[in-house]
Amino acid sequence: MDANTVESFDLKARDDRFFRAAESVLKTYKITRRKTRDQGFVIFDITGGTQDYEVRVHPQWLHNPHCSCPDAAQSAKMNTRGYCKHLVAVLLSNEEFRCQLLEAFL
Amino acid sequence: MSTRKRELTPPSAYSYDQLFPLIRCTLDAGISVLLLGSPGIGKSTLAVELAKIMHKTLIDIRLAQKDPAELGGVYFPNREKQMLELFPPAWVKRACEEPCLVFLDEFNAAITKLHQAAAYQIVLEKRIGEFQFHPDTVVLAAGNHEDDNAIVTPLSSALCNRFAHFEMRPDVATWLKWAAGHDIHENIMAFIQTYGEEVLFSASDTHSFPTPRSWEMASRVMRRVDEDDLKRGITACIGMPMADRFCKYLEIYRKVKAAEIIAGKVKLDFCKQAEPSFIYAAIFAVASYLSNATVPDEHLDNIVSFIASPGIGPEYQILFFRQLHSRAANLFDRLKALPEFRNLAGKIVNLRASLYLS
Repeated sequence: MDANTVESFDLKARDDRFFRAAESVLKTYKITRRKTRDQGFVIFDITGGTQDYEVRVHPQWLHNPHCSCPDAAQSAKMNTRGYCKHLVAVLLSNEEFRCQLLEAFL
Repeated sequence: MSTRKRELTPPSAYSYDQLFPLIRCTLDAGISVLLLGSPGIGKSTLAVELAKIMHKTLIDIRLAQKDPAELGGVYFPNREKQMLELFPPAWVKRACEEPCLVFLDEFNAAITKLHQAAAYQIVLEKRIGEFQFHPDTVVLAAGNHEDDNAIVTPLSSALCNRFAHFEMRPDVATWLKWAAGHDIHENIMAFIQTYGEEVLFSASDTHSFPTPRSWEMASRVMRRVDEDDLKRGITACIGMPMADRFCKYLEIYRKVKAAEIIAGKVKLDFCKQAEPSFIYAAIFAVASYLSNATVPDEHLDNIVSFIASPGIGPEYQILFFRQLHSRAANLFDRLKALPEFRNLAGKIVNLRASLYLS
């Protein structure tokens, strides 16, 4: 097994965790895209959980996407560059913004 | 001279990234940890990083270099009280007053029974004499394998039983991630990415052999030594057989003209030159050039053209972007404005998503 194969497995395991978490958000929560933008950001409301959160995505990727949940500010910030499960779910479910997930996989 | 390789990845051994959260949880639970692993694979680095993330002061104690009194303190007669009083070493005061991570390195390296007795108190009772550690002080010990040509003293079963035991193995992906943020020479990163664990770590009976630590030493030498002395300097760190192999790889690496690629004057044909060693060399050479270069806006799309060249797969692309993200974050951010870059990023993410679905 060469280095590339080993790395592929490691990355796949990590990425699978992202996708599993995002899948659970898509099943459990309701994601609503607001009709109006705020300072150029597209806003998504995440509802249906114990707390409501807000995900902000810049369409031209001039700023990194952001979620208002505590995980994005704490453990996800430390471990996955701030990409919490809400953020991953929003970006995955909107093809036009999917590219902005790249940094989560680096 | 004969070279003896040990089993690199015993089934119970974990990589740095796997161990980090495991050990953190165990220490958080108030359990002392004994971490075993070959020399130079990152045990001390793990202790330093754990202390940072757990917001504890690191107390680094090399057991084999300490007199037992430096561990357990010494008793002095108090004639007024007619009793002996313990004078603890300075580190104990710290461990009692604030949350610390007490790192007992070289734990099984030729320590005496006296060392073990002091270690027993530290590990089991988290105190020295009547000096009780702060409730949030944790203890992490580290040692080498018995078959690593390191001097190892068997520990008593009573002491062993007081630890949670983990074993660390060298891991290429983890090391490269670390290396990208620690100024490790790009030629070394490219070489290790290309050939993997067999070149990252290969214990032998010789004095110098490749380990993550000795590669880091080699990197520092590479940055300072004259070209004529390069091979000799590298050999001193990682040994002759590996230095030989590395220098042959350098010949391929130096064929990549990164500045001309980014200026759009040269295009590499990865369909004709499809050997992984060449692709890795090209990726690291270009990423390294970009980490120091000033790239005008009109050349940004040449970066995307290079990494989207036919013959370069998504694993290579991710590796390239990871390098860029760590070493040239501003440039990475500038790329985001390019539709071609966003298009490529979307393709990479889609591929990851399809891997998950499969």
